[in-house]
Amino acid sequence: MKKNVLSLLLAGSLAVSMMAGCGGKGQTEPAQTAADGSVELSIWVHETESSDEGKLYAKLIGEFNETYAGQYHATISQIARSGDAGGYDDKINAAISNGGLPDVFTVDGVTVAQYADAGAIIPIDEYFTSEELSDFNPSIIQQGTYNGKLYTLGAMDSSVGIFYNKDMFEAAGITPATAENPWTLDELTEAAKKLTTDDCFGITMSLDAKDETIMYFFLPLIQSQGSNVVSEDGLKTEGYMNGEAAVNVLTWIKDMADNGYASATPAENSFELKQAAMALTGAWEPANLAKFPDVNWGLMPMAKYDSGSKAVSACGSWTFAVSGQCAEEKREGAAELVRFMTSTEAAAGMFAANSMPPSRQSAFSKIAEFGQEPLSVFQYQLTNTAQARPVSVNYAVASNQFATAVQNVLTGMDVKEALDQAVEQYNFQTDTE
Amino acid sequence: MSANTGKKKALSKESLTGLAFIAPAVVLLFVFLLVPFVLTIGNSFTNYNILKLGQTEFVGLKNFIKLTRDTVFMKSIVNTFVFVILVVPLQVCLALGLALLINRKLKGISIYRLAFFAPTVLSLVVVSILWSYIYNPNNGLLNSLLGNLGLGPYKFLNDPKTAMACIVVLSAWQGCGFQMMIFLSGLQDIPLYLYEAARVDGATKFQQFVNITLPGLSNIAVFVSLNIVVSAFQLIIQPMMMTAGGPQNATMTIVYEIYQTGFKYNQMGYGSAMALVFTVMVLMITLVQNKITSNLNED
Amino acid sequence: MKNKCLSGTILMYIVLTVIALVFMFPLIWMLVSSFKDDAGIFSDITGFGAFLPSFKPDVFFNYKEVLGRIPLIKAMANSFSYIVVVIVLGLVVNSMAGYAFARLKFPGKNLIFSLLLAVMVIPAQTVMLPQFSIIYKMGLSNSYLALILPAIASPMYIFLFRQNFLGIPESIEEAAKLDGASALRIFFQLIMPLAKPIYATVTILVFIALWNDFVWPVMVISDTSKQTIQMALSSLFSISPVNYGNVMAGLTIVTIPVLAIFLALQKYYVAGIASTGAKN
Repeated sequence: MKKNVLSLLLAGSLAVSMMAGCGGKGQTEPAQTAADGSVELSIWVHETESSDEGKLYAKLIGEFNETYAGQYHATISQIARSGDAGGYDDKINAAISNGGLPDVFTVDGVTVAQYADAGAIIPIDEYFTSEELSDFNPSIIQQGTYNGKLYTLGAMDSSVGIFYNKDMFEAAGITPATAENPWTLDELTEAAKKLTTDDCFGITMSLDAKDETIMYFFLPLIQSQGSNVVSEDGLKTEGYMNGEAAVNVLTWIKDMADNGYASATPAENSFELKQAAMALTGAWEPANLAKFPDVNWGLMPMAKYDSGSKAVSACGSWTFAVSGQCAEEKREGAAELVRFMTSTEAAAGMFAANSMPPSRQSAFSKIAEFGQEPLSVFQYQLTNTAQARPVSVNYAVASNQFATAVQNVLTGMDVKEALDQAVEQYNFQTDTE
Repeated sequence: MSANTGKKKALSKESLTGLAFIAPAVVLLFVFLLVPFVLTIGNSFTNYNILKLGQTEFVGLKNFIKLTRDTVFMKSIVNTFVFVILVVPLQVCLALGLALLINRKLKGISIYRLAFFAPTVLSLVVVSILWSYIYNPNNGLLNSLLGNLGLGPYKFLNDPKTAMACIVVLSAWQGCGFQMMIFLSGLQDIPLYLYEAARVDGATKFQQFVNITLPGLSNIAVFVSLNIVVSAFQLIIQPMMMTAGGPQNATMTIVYEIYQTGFKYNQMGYGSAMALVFTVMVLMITLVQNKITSNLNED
Repeated sequence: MKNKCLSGTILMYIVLTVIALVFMFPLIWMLVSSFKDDAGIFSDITGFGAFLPSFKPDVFFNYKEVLGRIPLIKAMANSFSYIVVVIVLGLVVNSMAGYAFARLKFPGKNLIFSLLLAVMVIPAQTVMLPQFSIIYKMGLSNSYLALILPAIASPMYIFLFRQNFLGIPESIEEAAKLDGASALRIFFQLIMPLAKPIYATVTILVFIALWNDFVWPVMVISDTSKQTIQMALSSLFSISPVNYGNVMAGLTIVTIPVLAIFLALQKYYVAGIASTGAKN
């Protein structure tokens, strides 16, 4: 009996000793220098090798190691991202507070301010010449700049336009807008009205989205009126998110849904299944449309608010940043890795991998598809009308509250009331007085 | 454990055995649950923000005072209670009903047992995505079904009045297979001769149910109801995947709000305060529930 | 009399079948959709076509694609191996604790049990970050121990075991005690075999919970070769545009082991098997 108890106690404490025994195992930092004397660099990306984009990252790292053999050696970790349910972002956050960030990691364009403010990423301007930077789309620089310093560069960009069903347009006698001359909201509404039938919506705009999509799609209409959802310094929403411009846009959205021109709860793939004549959506759409070969589609630019306002389009995507936990002596190598991952070849390769438009002009000129319709619309927008989302430490709160306001309006709340509530919640959550 | 070492000599053999039996579990729970929770309590008195580590400082009761002004948090408490009150009886009855239905010797019964258990096999994330298609007001399965009967269309998740009810139905449907299994294992422990004796005495099926089955299940029922209450209080995946807490905060729940505050807005300190209030609340309820059920058991 | 019995049986089958369909439909939808392309899945989604199969010439094209895209088999093996360890250790650790709380007397029993009830209500999300810090400081990140150790002990299962053991008549143990058997022996040789249904239940529940766990593995495992099944699967969702046919095929594949485990453990649920012990 005594023996039994003893062995049990031992078994119980085994767990503890196992922990102690393994201490330090996972913690050991990768050696600063490899056997051949090259500097070891680590990089995290948000796509696994199951996607072509993920495969491209792995391939680029292989090429990097070849190119810089004996000087730098990079090791890649590919981590799945899973929308709201955590994943990549939670892992980054945990590593920020506990240590363990890699030297370079991918950062969503809208989180630059947050991470920069936290010191999780560091400025990289000193490693790039202004000539190099001038090749990037202006909005890429805009999205990566916080407090006057550049923190991130991306290989890909994104854009939002109005995809339309050519056959339906022809049948209704509607002439699509050109890249240089986008429709006004009135023109868009008029067309949607004409195209709406019993079993077909005029346009689908992902109005059921409750996430970043809402800001990504509709902020340009606010910017088109010369306003924004937060102030220039990225801190205040009072007078912006509930300002006249935002009220106008939400009122338009509500009218579109109330009149039945756009569905407040669109079915998945309704444009592709010809249940909608137009789709307001992003640069990822052509890859999706490829699965529905009998849709004869074209692309128009994002609409502007009215004839007196300027054309503005959405942009922004994932970028590369050097981590604040990257050792001083490794930073040059880390910046070199960022340069390599955002090169013209990388940017052009990105289009082949995931059909996203490149982040730089030299890459655009290498891709035949952008020289002609329909994708020329995206190149025109990214070169001329794209405007980044606010670079704000509180962006996550602002975006969430804006999406909530749109959802509230679509479920019956008054526009002004919904936006006032969004501002109130924003102030409360961010302790803004 | 260490506190006991002093009087170890005085401990009986049974005490030693008892302590040895619980030791592995207690050590593991201490390290991986209690310590993290104590850290969370500590955080709730600070302005801890993952992205503002350098600025972390003790703020006293500030987070708790802020909570009293947080209208969304208050709404989420109400919503969570509404959910719990609706889902618990529904799910217990469903689970018990299914368990009774399935606890019989019938050819092919194992297929049905598997069928009833099926929803629990898929992750909640997948089930939630699936049900949002079913609930879609435009072309969802449910509306086309009801349309055939001349009803609807209903807005389901898009109407603040019905959104929570939709989540209740889905949750009870998804979760009851789990508790059905537990009831089933409880039913296995009720000696068959009790039923045989009752039948000899001429008891009806209903009398057998009330006098043999229900008392025989009481230990398990305590667990099942507590289990459902605890998991119901932790509702998060369904609103996260289906409604993002809307429309008009109608499905915002406490744990979702904690997650959002802590992980999406990075305000760990404030989120921890919410978590603390929440845990105390659920604790009080489970203690009351425990008290009530143990009193019932004594009667 | 016999007729009445037969019609009652038929009625029972009808009732069972209807309920079964209500509970099975997501699995049916998943299975059926795994043989369709996306255009097919979404044009069928509005009605009962969603549950009717329509086969392509290359029937298993989604399965081939998904197995070519992600290392599903390897990830399933990873998940399986760590989950088996958790289940074996967890069953022993939790049921021993449950038995102690049900039957044995020891100092602090009530206090510890109340504490156990208390920690049961702590939502996982609130302790996730401190939990990660502890794992990290122990140097366990990126090792399977990070998945195994926190998952072994569970207040919920301890409580479940306790409740179940309370239901076993004490008379069974009295005899063994009089024969001088140790508590350990009574537990392993008498109680464990008697309580097979509850062990089977907990095995199934732990397996499902861990099989479907996503956020925690992502936080502690960064090595792709160590990824769990949900990590592998989630990458199918994260690529835009999502290929739903592939997703359905992937989901079908990962559901098979869970169903297999369930079926394998079913035999412990055949009515009446466990009740024999109580007759003694």
